Amino acid sequence: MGLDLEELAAVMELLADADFTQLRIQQGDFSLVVSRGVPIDDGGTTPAAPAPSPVTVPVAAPVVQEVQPGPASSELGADEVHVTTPMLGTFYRAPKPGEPPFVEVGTKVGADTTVGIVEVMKLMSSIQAGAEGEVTRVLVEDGQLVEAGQPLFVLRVVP
Amino acid sequence: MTHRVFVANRGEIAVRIIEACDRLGFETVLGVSAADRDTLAARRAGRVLTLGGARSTDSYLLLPAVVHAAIATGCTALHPGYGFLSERPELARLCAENGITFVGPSPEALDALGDKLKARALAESLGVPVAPGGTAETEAEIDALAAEIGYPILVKAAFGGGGRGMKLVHGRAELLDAWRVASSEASAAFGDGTVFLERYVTDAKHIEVQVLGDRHGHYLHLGERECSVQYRYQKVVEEAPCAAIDQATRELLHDSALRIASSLQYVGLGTVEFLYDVQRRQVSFLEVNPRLQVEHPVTEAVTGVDLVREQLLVALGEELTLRQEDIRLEGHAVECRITAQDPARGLAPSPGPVTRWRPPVGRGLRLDTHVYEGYRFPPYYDALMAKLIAWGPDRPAAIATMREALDRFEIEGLATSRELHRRILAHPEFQDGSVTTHWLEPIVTDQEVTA
Repeated sequence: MGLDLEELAAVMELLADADFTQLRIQQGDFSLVVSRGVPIDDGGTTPAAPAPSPVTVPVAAPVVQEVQPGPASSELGADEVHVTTPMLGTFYRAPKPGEPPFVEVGTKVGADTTVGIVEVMKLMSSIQAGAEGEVTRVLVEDGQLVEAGQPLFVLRVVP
Repeated sequence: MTHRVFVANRGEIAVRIIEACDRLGFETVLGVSAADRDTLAARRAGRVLTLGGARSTDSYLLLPAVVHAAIATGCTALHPGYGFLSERPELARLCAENGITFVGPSPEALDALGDKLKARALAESLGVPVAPGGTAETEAEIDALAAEIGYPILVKAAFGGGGRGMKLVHGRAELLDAWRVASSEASAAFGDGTVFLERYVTDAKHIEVQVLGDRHGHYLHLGERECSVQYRYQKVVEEAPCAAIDQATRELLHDSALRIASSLQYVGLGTVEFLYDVQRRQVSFLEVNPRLQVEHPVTEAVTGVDLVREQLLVALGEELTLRQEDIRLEGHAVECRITAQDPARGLAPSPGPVTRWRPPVGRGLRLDTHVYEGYRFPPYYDALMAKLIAWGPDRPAAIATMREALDRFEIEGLATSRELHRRILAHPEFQDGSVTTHWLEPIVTDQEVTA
């Protein structure tokens, strides 16, 4: 689908008399949001600005772009590995609000060092580094929703 | 407010729900397993989140992860589809506690219907016919009850259903052993060892009535379906309406289903299942499935009602605009469940790559599927690939359309049940409408019984 200006004008004309505040049409790549009297409700997932399609990403690849992009690149150097979460949930970088994070860029970790917490319906699970090394990048913000398999940190592993 | 619906399912039904949401202007979020990131539903959903690993116990059955994902993505409603978590009262409860509309009946209704013995008692109290049966405590009582019912008898688990947790007993010698085994199996599988006895009907048709209720006290039925073509309690071919019953029986079925729905103040879609004893010409209540069913398209084909749309709207509190007198059946519809199962090997699962997928198109045909050419059909889940639905002005016309469609359906790369469907549809006993629930088994196991 797609609309030229004339069709768009026709749609607007039809809607002029309709009882609505917001109209959202999406079909394939095309999307149209029309709003009257209220700001467009853009929850970050509005079809007007779709996230890169997840289906174009191979299953095994990192899928950070699915959620808000992290503050750092998830690309890996030759001696780097990802620390991923095995479960979906809310990610916390610190044991409690206001406390310092478990790890920062530069922190040296062992395989069983706790690097964060994932909360699923009030149940907290700690995430371990899984390898010995140094944290080089933090990919996910505190309080962010993470998916199963999503990379959280990049580690430079001890050779 | 724009509704955002969390789709807690996969496969063709996830696609079906997403399409219904699209038509209503609702946004969708799909929770998938790691193996399902490239499915058709994942392409169609507004947003996709990986719940966990490939196995359903690590993803689709993870109740906390599903609800967490729905809350964190700002969903206003959750559609559970069928199977997986769809009949779990805990899911309905957790949704309610977190301000998410569960697209299904209330937790109380799910509780009442999950216990088959309670559901049976409810039906009985409403004057709905049930098969002779009941439960007992002591060995002497069990023995006496069995003698009263008459053999053969089924020992059924109260929290089983859909063919799970049942034992067939042919005589008194096997009774107490079967009772004990069934009870301990039920205890292990369903967390409750309650079992009961019910008369086993040797020659029965499976007939079910589609009901729909809203939060404003309106309940209606959308006619019946016949699903007698089954293999090991799995439905293979379904149709609407049932051509093999008289008007009095049909009215008894519809009326019974409505009585159950209204007594439960049932909100949403439900299916009241019955057995029809062909020899005795008797109807008996089986169970209520409190969810959308696989075979819902045959009802849609003959009523013209979009059941998933109605289900979503009533869950969100809308009043039904349909009234019973608006429901008019037109023609006849047949559905074939095309599965990744090999009829030459006793319907063993046959996952693999779909190298060619050319569904038939034409007048009176519908295909509900998540499969596309190049899709790798995964080994982790249900074998359902597609539901092919054929409509015709009468039953012979619908069957003729289906047979032609099956002939034209090109699938390569993996074994499917298409051949079995061609044999079923060509069979004189299917065509004359006389088949019962055990009819298919020898056709699957005995290669000589071919049409």
